[in-house]
Amino acid sequence: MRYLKKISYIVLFIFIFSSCYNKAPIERTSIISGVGHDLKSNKKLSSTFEFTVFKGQNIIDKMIVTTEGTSIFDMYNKRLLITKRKHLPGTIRLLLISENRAKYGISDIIDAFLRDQERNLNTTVAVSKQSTENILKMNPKDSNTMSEEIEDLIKSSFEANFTQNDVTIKDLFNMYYQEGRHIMIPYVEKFKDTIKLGGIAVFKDDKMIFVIPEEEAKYVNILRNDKAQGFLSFTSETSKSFDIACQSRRKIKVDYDDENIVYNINILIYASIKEANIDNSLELSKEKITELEEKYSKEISKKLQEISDKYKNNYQFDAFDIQKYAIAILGKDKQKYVEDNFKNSKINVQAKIKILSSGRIIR
Amino acid sequence: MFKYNNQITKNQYMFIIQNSMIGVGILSLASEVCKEAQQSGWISTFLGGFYPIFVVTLTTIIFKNMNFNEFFEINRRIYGKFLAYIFTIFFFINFTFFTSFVLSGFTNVLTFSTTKFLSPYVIIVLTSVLIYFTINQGLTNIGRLSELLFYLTILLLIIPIYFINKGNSTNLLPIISNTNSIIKAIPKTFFSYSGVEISLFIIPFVTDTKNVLASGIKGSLITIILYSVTVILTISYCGYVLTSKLQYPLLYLVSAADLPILSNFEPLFIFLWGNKIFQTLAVGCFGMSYTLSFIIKNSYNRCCLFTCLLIIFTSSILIPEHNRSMVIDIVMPYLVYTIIIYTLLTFILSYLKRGEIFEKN
Repeated sequence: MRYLKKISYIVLFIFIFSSCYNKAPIERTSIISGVGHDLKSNKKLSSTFEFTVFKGQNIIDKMIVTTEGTSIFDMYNKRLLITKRKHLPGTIRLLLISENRAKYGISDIIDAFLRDQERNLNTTVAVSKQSTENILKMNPKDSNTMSEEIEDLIKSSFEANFTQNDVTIKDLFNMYYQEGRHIMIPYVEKFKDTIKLGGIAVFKDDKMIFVIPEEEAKYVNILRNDKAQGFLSFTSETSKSFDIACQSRRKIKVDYDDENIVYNINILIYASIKEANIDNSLELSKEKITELEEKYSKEISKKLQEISDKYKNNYQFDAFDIQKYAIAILGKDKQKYVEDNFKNSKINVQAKIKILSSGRIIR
Repeated sequence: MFKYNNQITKNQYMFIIQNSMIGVGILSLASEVCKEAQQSGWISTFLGGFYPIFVVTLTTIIFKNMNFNEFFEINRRIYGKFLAYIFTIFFFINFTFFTSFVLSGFTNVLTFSTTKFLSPYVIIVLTSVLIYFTINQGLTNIGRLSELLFYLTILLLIIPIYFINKGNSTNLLPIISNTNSIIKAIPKTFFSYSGVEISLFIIPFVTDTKNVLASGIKGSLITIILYSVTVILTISYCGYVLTSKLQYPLLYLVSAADLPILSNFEPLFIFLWGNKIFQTLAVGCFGMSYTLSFIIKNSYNRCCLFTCLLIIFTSSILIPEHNRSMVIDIVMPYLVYTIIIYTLLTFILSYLKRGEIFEKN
């Protein structure tokens, strides 16, 4: 009994002194779903916030607020003059950066998101072709807010085109701070009255330098991403086609002889045939499958080699996330050497398709 | 008012040794070692583990030589009355620093992460009240608490293991690039390993002293492995540049998990780790009260009250994190090196005097 009394005193004491004060009540808070960073003319920053508005029961609307300023929290100050509710930064689902802003530099955004403990590390990041206000202002088709829609778009894209799945802000920090890596994030653009994924935005340090177009993005993705999923289709002149669903594995081997660095990218593609409209009397015996594997492995290797040579020669830039392997072998202090010598290095791509399943039809 | 009992079992000794080291260090260790040793920071962490093993081993041998008498008794016989008094004051100061560092660090982490709405002083006062009630019952109570909380350590390890295949091995390679920097980073780990000095005071209370050395080493090894694994996982996930930039890399790591139901592991981790901190603080405060009762020749229970009041005051001074890390950088090396020298010296002297027959009093 004596102990019980003592314990109850302690518990009471704790409850009295640790109540949650100084927190906004739920009626006065609003859920921010996305934030867009943009650059106006004369180097003035602008940011757009999209947040949900609850109007009565089951009616959820959205609003956006755009402010201009000289720094991120200067804009925050001005935003509070317009908005009527307290906004919590922890709920941000999407960070959208316009192309202009990305080219201007995003080091301040990286710092703000990394420094503030309240911010969510699983925010999805994307670069937009149009201004962020334009995109967030649009009417969402199948979500409550445009930010959620863009996030869903990016997350659902993992299943095709071998799209990268390191799209959150913590991956962006990793790409920014780890040696020999570059920031590469999805690039979205307006498409009719909605948005679509239009390629990959590539950064050098904190500035965007170019966009990998949609047609080439698939092949760059195969070269860049490990354990990515997608479909490969091979068509012939006679309008016959052969489609496979793939899961790719990537292995990098770096050889170094005093002069040059040689990167060997070995790609193993586990595939299952989804469509094989190539020959009417086709029977998928072991020999035939081996023949198909060899034929299409050669074809895809050639295509990937072309792409890798193109990016190496045209941009002198590592878009395949392979420099880190060279740095891991040569030492962390050789980062500059590896980056400077990328244009002289050699990239060998070797892809191998392994068909695991032929589906329901065997002949 | 309170009766206290100091007897502990061998297993409880192991758990106390193991738990007394896990403080704020586990959160910030990776940042400190990566600053010097870059991607090889985990090697420094592992090598820094020689400090707890050194202290635990020598302590056990000293006490074996001196027939497991109490700390003051041994000091009096080896060094004489005056020096024994001086050493006790030194250890009191050491534990005061240790406890204030842990308590202020705990407060800083809480106000930084989960309980932003609380004033740091409220946390300090509440924690001190809890510690007062814990240590008042004596070492037996702390031993039981350690036994219970040991299993939380396993959970603390399981959460970072979520990231075991999320990292990239290129971040850890080359394994050794500069031997000098690895050695230079070892003293940075000593703050994380400090607290193990408590073994000097609690060994005489172990009931069965047969394999007490093995227990001590086992306890130290668990903590060394826990530290090394968390540092490896942090570096392999974040890379050493980001790790050395962050204040609490492990906290960053656990909050980066993307989970279906929980928003992230951070509150869960803080909850588990906070429980460990209560125990670490209780051990530190026990050391303080125990030495203080000898210094001011007063009863142990009254000294518990004095020490709790003292740490409220000292940890309030260290409140912003930069204050605390500045004081740690200045004070910690002196404390650690003095303890190493003291242990070594006592070891040699006790070895010389081991022939004399001491009765256990």
